[in-house]
Amino acid sequence: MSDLFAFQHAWLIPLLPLLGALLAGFLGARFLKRQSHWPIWLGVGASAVLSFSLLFGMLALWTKGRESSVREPAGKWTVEQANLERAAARDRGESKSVPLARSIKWFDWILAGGSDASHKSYPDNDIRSADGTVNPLRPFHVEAGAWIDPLTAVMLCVVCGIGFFITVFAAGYMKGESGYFRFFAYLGLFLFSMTILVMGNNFVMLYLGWEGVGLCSYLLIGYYYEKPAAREAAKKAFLVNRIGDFGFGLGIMLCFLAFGTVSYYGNGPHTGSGVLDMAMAAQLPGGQITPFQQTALKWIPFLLMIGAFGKSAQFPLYVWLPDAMEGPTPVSALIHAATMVTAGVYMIARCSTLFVQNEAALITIAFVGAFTALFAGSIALRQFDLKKVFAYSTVSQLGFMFVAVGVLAPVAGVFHLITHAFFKALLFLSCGVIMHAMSGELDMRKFSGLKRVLPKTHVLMLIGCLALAGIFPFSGFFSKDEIVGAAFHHNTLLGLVLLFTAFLTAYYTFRLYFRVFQGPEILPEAPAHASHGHGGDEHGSHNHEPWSMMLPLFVLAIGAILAGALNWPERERSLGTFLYESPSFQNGAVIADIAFTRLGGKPVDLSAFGRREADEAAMGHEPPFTPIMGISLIVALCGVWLAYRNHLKDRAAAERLARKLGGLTTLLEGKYWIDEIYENAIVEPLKKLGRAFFIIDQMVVDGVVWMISFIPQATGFALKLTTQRGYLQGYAASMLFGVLVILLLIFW
Amino acid sequence: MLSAIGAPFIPHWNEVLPHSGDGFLKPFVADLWLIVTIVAVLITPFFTRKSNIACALVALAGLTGALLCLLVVGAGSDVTGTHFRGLLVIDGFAVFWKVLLIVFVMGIILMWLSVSAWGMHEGDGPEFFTLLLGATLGMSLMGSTSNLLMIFLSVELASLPSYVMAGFRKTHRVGAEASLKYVLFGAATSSIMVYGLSILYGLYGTLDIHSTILANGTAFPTIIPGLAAKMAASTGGGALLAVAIFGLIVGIGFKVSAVPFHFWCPDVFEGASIEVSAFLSVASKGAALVLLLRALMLIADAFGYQNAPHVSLSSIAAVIGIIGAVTATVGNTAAFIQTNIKRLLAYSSIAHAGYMLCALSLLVAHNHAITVDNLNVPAQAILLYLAVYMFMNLGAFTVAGLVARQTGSELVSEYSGLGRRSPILAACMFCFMISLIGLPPFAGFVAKLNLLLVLMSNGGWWWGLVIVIGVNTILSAFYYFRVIKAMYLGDNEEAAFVPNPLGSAIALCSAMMLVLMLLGYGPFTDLTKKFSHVYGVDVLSRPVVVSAQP
Repeated sequence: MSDLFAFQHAWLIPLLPLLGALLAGFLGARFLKRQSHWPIWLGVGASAVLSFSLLFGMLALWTKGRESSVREPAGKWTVEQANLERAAARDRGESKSVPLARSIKWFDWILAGGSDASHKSYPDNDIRSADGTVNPLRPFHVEAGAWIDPLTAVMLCVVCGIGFFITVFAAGYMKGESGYFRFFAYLGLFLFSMTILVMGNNFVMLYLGWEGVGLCSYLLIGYYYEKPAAREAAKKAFLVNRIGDFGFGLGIMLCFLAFGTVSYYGNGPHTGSGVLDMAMAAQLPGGQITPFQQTALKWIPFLLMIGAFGKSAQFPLYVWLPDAMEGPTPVSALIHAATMVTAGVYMIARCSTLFVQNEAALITIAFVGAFTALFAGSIALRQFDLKKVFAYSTVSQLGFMFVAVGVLAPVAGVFHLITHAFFKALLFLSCGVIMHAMSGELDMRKFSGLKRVLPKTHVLMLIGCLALAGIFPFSGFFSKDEIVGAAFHHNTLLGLVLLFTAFLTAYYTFRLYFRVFQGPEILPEAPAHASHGHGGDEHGSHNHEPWSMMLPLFVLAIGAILAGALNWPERERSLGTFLYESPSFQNGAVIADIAFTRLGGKPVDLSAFGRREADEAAMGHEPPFTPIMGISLIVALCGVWLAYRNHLKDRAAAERLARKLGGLTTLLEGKYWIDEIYENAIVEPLKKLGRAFFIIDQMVVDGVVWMISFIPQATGFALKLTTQRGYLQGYAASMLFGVLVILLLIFW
Repeated sequence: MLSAIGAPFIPHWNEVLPHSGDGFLKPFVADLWLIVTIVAVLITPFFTRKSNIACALVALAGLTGALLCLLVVGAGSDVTGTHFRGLLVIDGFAVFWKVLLIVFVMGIILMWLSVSAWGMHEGDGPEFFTLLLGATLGMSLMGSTSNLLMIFLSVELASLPSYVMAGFRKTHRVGAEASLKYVLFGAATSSIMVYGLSILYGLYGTLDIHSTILANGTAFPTIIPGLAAKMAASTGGGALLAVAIFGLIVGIGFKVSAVPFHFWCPDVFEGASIEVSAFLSVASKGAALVLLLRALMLIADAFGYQNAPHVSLSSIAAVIGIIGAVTATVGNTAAFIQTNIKRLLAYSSIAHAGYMLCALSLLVAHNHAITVDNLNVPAQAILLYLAVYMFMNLGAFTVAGLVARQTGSELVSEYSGLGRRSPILAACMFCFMISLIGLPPFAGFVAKLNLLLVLMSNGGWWWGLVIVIGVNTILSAFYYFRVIKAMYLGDNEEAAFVPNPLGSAIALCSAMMLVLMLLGYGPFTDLTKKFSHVYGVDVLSRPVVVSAQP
């Protein structure tokens, strides 16, 4: 495995976009100007190629390993058992299974604290001494390194692959904007941070990436900084994310306190030298665990969860995402739909070891996810701005993913993450094309029947809508169905909520489609406002669907259609079984298995972690299509039909319905007044508190500071007036005095 | 070839050469390059009329050659050993210091080109660069000697050109006065030092601090015990020995500008032209620290880091620690009220020298059991601190020089509105000031953190030093932030200006180095660890010395 180019040179994946960003940032204004997209195209493109070669190399090894390997015995096994078997197989000279997960160290980043002696006797990441005690003088050791496993490879392909197509699209979309180079420099920086986030082999790298993408998101939302709304939205996104990141940071610190390291798996999986491994060992029956670790394991998931809620826009921290649509559309597609906002899901899937035994945390995640899905889905019903509809839809779909990881089906969560990345990026970019054609107008009441104006976009958007609505055989159908199925397995209420949300999703998606593309052709009058930067004069003549913008859309559309096949339930080699090669999923499955049989809960469906029972016969019984699939398809079709009735056949019907449900309509149009509630309940009191603190600062703190500064100031003047007066005699006398004092010290 | 020439005249010549053949000069080719460059600078005026700039370029070229030679030596697997009958020592520590020094002097010359070249009288260049390179040679030798004679020679070789450089602006009254003060102080402290060194020679009858191993071709080489070994073996000396070591500390303390030998420092920095101040602030202090570290470490090592009845290592450590703490405190409090940026930086450099002296106090007594790992910890801390400090000061003085050139004044008040008038310079200065305080995200943080961790890990009364450094850091924040406040919050209606591009480049490069060194915290620390080995410090692996009575 290590001989593959992509493994040895995985460091190039984050580095190339960074280089591109630096080139675009430093040379863009002066030299590159309108060509500033080239460094980013090349850098991100190369990273995408590397990511895919990493994935395919891994797949090849996996296939080879599976064919040559003896099947692992069925039934309950523990990691110790598996390790013993692996070791035995190694001794016999058989390469039983190729470990697809490994840690690649680039360099020691931080090695602080502890004494040198403690570094020696506790080599590398191993913070335990031979007798198993945790090193009291443990150093704070952070590697700069990558953790390469199937989950990383899949995430890298999503980030770099979709990232590349969106940068290609952006070059066409952003043509002629002022600060063109700035946009691409930020984009490169974003992809650097995002790859660091998914590649890092420890929590500090994760945090670095986490904050990096947050910063880039802030910069890009505020890209049109002349617009007050964009500035406000950027600020809001930044501040709301700080709340989440605060919890996230505390969680990481608690990890370090409890386990003495921040590495995921230390030197490698099952070596007992990383947080996730040690947490696992502690949770196995008979595992040694200190009382402090026990308490920490209760709290860490909740703290990490707060971070995930902030970054992935879950209730109550979702408020920033709809406003973030003030940024340029490619940014909405890349950052606020496809990649960054899914970081929370990635993080929980990565750390499933920490989450699965904590039932309270899991229930919280699942219910917050379900509630967010329903809540945001319902707001999307009465939005008229295209991007706002998709923004709330994104929040809602992220809720689905959270339910998936909450009900112990991380494979379904990651699967939905991938399909969602494709079709949501497609939908947002299509919105971008519409926005381009309509000179910045996005209100669906202002135009209609665009299928003849934008024929290609029409087809692409339809594909995206079908996928989002979950219509067979588009990708969204499969991933959403898996989540709904897992939710029903766990809790019927959750399942029903998700099913209803699926109905809403189909409704608002096709409401948008029927209004925008079907019906009588209406175009907005003169270009509404030139704020978008595209001059009005060229409007009539220029092609609304240039190839540079269409090509990425076609690729994404193919993904939106076909990505559902990745986890085809019948196939033995699917996304799930591949992801199961990642220790995060394996450990999660093992702990979930033990925890939920011990706690007397329901038996866990381990195939939701990607585990396939070794017994072929047992597998054959699992039907490829479940009744739930049929139900969810019918529900989605109902939604489409209702949208057709209300928004195409008889457009007045929708308004009639809205008037009939007056109260509900106002509630939805006011977005439940969550923003206003936050403003009055949190922001205003905080502002008052701030003013009070300001007065205290002025009166008390400044006074104390002045007093503190008075002492050295007085000493300084005293020194100046006594010794440092410029007279040589004075100097000599002072020196003589000092010498005497030193001599006294020596002989005393 | 040289060994063939030397053999007939000097007894034991062939035995003392650790490397047979002609390769033994290799580690010192860099120093030879400096000498050649001095000659080249002196004859440059014969070839060109614009000799100032030409001399600078010649000096730069020579220094580049020296740097390349050093890098070759440093990359070599084993360069450790004594040369020239023990007069000079080469080891990782010395190589690292020399690389730092030469890079720094190259920076100083670039700074001169960007700030002062226009103001220097045509024809003064050769003299100036001869002096600069001469002092550099002295400082380079200070880093690689543990022989009493060489100590005195190299200190004087470094000092004498410095005195002249301090007063190089002949028409400048303040400079002339400062130079005179510098000479008088230097003479006084030098005489105390040479007095101390002569007592040492008188007591033990040898000039080499370290023991010399004579390769006689057998498995049991003859060992000529050095001064440190004899000191440890004999029991006499007492008060006389204390006076001798005191003399050494005074001589070095003057170069480091430790309190109470610091009086020259602010006056000289204010009076000298800015690149000379910058040069003295890092090179002179660094060389002295490196020299003292080597000498004390060898002595402490000979005693096995234990107090002996006649020599109390812990009281030497206490004296150095107290001097360091007082130096840092006096430097910071005095800097508090300075209005002249050069005087402010002078006191700041006194304070930083104090911090480094605190680390130096570690060498002579360890609380922990001595292991291969913690043996070289103080050397590592000082190397790391010097490397960071060098870039901070080079950058800060460059910005100070550029601003002084633009405004014609060296007052801190001139910095008001700099953030608007020259955003690049202001951003760089911001970086240097934050780094000098020791705050992230700049490398000053790494250096200070490393120093504090080293002190803390030793525990005991070193915690006192940790507290003193902590309090001093808070104090220093006040005056560093005064500059930042002036730059970004001060009002100034004057027009924006474009600083000299070369100067801006130096400042930018230094700032970027400071960021890079923080990002590369791990690799950078590893590098200093790798180069922190001091030759002759091998208490763990040393064969038992059969002491020959003096």
